[in-house]
Amino acid sequence: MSTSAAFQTSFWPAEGSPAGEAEPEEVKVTHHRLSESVKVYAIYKETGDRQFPHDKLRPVMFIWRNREYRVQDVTYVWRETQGQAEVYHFTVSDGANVFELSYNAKALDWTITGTYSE
Amino acid sequence: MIVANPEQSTIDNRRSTIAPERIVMHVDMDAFFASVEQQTFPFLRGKPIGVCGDPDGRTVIAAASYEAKHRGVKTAMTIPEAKKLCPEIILVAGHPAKYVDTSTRILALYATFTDLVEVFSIDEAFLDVTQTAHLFHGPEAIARSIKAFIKEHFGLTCSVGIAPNKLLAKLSGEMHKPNGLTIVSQSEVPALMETLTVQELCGIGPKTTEKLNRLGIRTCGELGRYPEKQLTGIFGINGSHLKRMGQGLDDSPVLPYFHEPATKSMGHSFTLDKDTRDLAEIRRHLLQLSEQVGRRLRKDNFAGRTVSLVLRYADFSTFIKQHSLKNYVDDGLRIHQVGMKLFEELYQPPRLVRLLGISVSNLVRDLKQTTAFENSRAGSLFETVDEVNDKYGEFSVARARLQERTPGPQVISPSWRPGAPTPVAR
Repeated sequence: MSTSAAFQTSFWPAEGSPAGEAEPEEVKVTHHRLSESVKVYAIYKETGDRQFPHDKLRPVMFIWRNREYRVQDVTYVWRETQGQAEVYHFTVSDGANVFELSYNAKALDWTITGTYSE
Repeated sequence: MIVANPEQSTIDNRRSTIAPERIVMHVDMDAFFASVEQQTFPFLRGKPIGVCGDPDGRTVIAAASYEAKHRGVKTAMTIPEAKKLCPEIILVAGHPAKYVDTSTRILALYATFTDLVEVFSIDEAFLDVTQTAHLFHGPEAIARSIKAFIKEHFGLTCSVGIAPNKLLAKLSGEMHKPNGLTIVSQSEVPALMETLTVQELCGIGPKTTEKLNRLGIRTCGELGRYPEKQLTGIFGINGSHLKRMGQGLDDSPVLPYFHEPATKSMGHSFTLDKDTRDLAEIRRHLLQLSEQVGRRLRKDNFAGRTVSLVLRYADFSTFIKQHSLKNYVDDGLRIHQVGMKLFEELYQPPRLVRLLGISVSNLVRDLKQTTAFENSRAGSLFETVDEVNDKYGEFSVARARLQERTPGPQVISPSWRPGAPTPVAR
């Protein structure tokens, strides 16, 4: 294919060679995709010296499937646009597992969108 | 050359070292995608990881962590190649939206130091701080501030090169990675160029290196001394440019996003999950790609006259064919019709198809309501559909045939650029 930057090529480039080789045993990140409403307790900080909107909200606890999870660490936050809605994604750890919580700033609702483990 | 300790300030020396030359800074995020994933998932930290599309799919390593790089894993390696070098490598599916958002926020940070910020790629940028460095206690202080902010907000590191031009800034930034801070002044350039091999210069690839080596040119210093006439005899107009590169000279300005050249074409391509000769499936993929292209054209108020099709077979042989229309189009269905015609002309049954791509070039902007524009907007249908999709997300309303569309592919355009950065308070 042309290497012209004109093409929005697949972000993950395809293999350069069709030749396959015997593969050793794989280690992967296990991702369970979810889309369940979840009750989240979060701290909202209106003012701060850092002005990214990402920094204003911090989940501290959530209740999912009748179980309470205390957030020990917010490991990453990013924002994406879904239609007109801004959705903030928080990957959080309770010390044992990593969860992805998503906050739709238009609908004002929280969803658990995934769990991750090694 | 000064290799600054990222933990220790040497601000006073630096300002006097490189002023009053141009002060160009190159900032490169270290193993960007892999570092973001290691930050996101604490259990990946300190381990060899490779970020790819679908770990089960037919993609290559898009980024490797430093732990994997130390084992020889490189970007664009196939997954079997990476596993052969590093059997315990952990493959992680990437999240383009996460990287785009992170990059956009980091660029907003750069914009607080200067408006001359050139986005080189999603994880690299040039900053011209010649006119503003004195406001922030000099370029080294700016670099340290950027590094501290990125570490505090994202848990990531970056490598910074500071030099009198873009060529040298990138070169110096890449000399000490990860988490490096390297400062090169003009007076140090001749000695530095003597030690560097030509392939270390940005823009000199393996083929040019081979040609230069055949001329007996191995170091930048040798390139800089080589007779220009002979270089232009071999490399054409690029010969002069190569000589200047060898001398460490580069007058190219740091071009902020608002001065970038106009878009020349828009396109999408897609590697199929499985090679196919099923024409219905191919037709559907082409329609989806065409609709995506049409949507992007309309979003940026473009229309184009030339439709190109890329067709790659299972054996990786690749063919491109294009057709120019009399009038301009921005309608996915019209693009699809031309694309299918091109496909029918190109396709050699029963060969298996691996990849399809559609692009539209010969672009013009703001060409509404003119006679050169195909009457394809069908009243306000497109505006309405686009409005709905703007509100509820892509393909919320789509042609019925695309009900079974392929999710994704996850794409970041090679020409990805952020919108106008909004400076943040530091």
